[in-house]
Amino acid sequence: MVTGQSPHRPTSGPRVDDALIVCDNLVKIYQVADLEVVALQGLDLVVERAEFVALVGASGSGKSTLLNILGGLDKPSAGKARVGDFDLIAMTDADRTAYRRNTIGFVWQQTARNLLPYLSAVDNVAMPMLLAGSSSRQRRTAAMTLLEVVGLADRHAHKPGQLSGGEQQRVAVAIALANDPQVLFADEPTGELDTATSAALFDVLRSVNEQRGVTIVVVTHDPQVADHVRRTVAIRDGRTSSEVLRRTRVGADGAHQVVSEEFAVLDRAGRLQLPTEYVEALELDDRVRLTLDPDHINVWPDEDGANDR
Amino acid sequence: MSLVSVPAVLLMAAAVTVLTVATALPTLRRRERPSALTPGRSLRRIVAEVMVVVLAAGALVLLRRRGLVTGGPEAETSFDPLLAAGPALAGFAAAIVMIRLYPWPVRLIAWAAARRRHAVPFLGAKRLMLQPPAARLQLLVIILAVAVSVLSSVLGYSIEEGRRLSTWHEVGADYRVTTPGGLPDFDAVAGPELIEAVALGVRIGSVAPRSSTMSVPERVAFLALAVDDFERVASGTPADPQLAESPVATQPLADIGTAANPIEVLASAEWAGAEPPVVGASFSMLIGARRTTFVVSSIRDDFPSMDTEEPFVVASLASLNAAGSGLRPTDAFLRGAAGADSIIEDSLVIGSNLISRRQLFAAADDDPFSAGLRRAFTGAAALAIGFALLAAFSGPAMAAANRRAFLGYLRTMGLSRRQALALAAIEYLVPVMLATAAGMVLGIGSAVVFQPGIRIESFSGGALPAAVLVDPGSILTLGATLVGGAVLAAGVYGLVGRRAELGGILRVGDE
Repeated sequence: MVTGQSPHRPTSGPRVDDALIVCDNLVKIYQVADLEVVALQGLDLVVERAEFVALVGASGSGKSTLLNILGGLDKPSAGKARVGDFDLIAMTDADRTAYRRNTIGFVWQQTARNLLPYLSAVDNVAMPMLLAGSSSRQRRTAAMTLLEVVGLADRHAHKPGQLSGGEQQRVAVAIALANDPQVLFADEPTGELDTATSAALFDVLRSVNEQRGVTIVVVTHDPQVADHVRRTVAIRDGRTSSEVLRRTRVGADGAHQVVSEEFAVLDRAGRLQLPTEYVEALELDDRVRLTLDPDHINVWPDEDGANDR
Repeated sequence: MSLVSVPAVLLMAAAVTVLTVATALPTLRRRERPSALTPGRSLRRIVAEVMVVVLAAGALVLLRRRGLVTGGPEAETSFDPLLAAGPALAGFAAAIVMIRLYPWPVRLIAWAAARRRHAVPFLGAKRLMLQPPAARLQLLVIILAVAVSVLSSVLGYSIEEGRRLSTWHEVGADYRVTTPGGLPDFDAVAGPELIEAVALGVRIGSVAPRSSTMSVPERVAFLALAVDDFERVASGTPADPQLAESPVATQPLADIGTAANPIEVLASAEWAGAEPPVVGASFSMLIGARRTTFVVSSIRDDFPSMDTEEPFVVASLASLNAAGSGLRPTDAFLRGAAGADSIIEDSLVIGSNLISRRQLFAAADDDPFSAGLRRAFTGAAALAIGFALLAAFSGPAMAAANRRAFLGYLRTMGLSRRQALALAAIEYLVPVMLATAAGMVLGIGSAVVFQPGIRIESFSGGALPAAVLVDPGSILTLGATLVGGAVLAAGVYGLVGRRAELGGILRVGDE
């Protein structure tokens, strides 16, 4: 069942004021030759502190554009975007550098892109700290601690070429955590990994999220990721379309059960995207008829209109 | 005496061969390539490099032994292309060794930087250590091009200075007047602004010395000179013989020219047909119808205005006059401005001859051979600089895509724009500066090592042996041009990197 949810509703959704990440009516337009491509068209998103969120979408949905904006790698064309105390629209170059250095961390899809191939694992993890100006001793100690967190302390002297893909991604997680960021962005972190290694990486991410309180935002096109996170936000046509929340509840037999519930996202303008399978099942097209009951809204196919056409 | 002996050259060749193999061994032993950024080196390449080094060493030894032009004065002169390729081979070999050595100082920088809080030198040094083969090729081109340019500059400058020195030596001053019939009063001819100083001398082309205590040649050329005046004429010039403190200038005049007080003279080092003169040996000559006794007080390889091919003797004119020779001056050495020629010429009696050092140099410099040589050296230097600049610019362009991804990755970690620019400066400037310095050392070293084979004096046309001289101005200009080019390249590529959209560089998911 899909339930409507608004990011601005304080009771049922995340609170905007306390949230770590807030995107409000975010628009990104790319100019490609003579064409304007609208990658994000009024996207709303709220992520609370210490959340573990997945942004899921098909190819071209705008999820990587959103990640680049949230990562301070790209600027939106309009709207509002805030991460912690940083207004991503109004940031100066210096702010942007400080933001990337201290507030966020990245894990990319391609394992080779996450690491400098000529540095050992511990030197790779120490690199963000070196960029931030930490001392040699601080770097070494912190890097070793982070490698322990991701379970690779014994591989600290190995270079990326001597590590497996999964190990490289775990080192990448350690790198992303190097300057103790508030949020970790991961772009298809398991894209090059097999199922078992992917699960192991998500275990590491979950552990980091739970034990260090780091907010984690994973961008992926793989819907199965929903099994690993508490909240999955689906992005379609440059907007958030639905969310899946996973909750653990105690059943009648006393056993813990994981329950997933899917919500449609209602934006500030009152717009709602109906799930594709619902639209197809009822052959909804162009217009629908709405009726309001005391506790819900009914959506009906516009049969009269269809006959008129 | 040659500057480098054959055993030393062989030792050097053996050392560089061992060094080449030693620096290549670690990469030969390495079984796996840790990444695409650490280029592997093939055994074939190492063998080729060792061969070049060995061939270059052989060519170097042969070139120093035989010279560039083989065949004696009687035999037909021939040009050996293998020997002619010696300098190029040696340069190539030296460049190979320098490139093998290049990672070591860079590794040292990386090691030192890793212990500090500065990311940029550490990253820059690491990047330099692991440059792809194309970047090493860039270094090779810069080293060789700079070496060729510097060698051309050094040879050109040495030849020009050798020619200048030989004209100073030939004239002995700015102007020399020789006359059989008396000299004018030059002080009255022109003011001190045109003629600053004049020294008179008596030249006798051929005199027969006699001695019962030493071996003497049949004939010697004789020059008696107003020593103090000549010091004023030649002071600070390449013709200055530094006579002021010598016994020739300071000798007491009582009973001079007799066995009791023989006239002190400078003698040429070689006395054709006789044993070389020794200091303290005395001899006599008939000067102005009077037999005068002389004693050798010092030996010189050359003396201004005296032919080095013939034995010569130089004495003080004051001593000669005190000995009662009664000879009238035949030569006048003048220190004067460039425009004094015509005024001096107008004052001379018929039969007198004026030689101008400047005119002599200009004539030698303008002859077709010298002009062609100069054009060749200038062209070679300019071409080499062009190649080096091209290499300095094209190197970064070849690695641009890889570098953009690398910078993009670092920017996500918080590399600031300033740090990115500094990194570009290190990546582009350090190799160019190191290669330029190595090329300069190689160019100057080649000139020194090959000087005995090249024989600069045969191009400068002088009788004096020409030295290898470095013109600091042209070397600094060359260095500044290349470093300026590298700075420009760093600026251009740094700015291009700055403008690149990070999102575009790093976007992995599909849109």
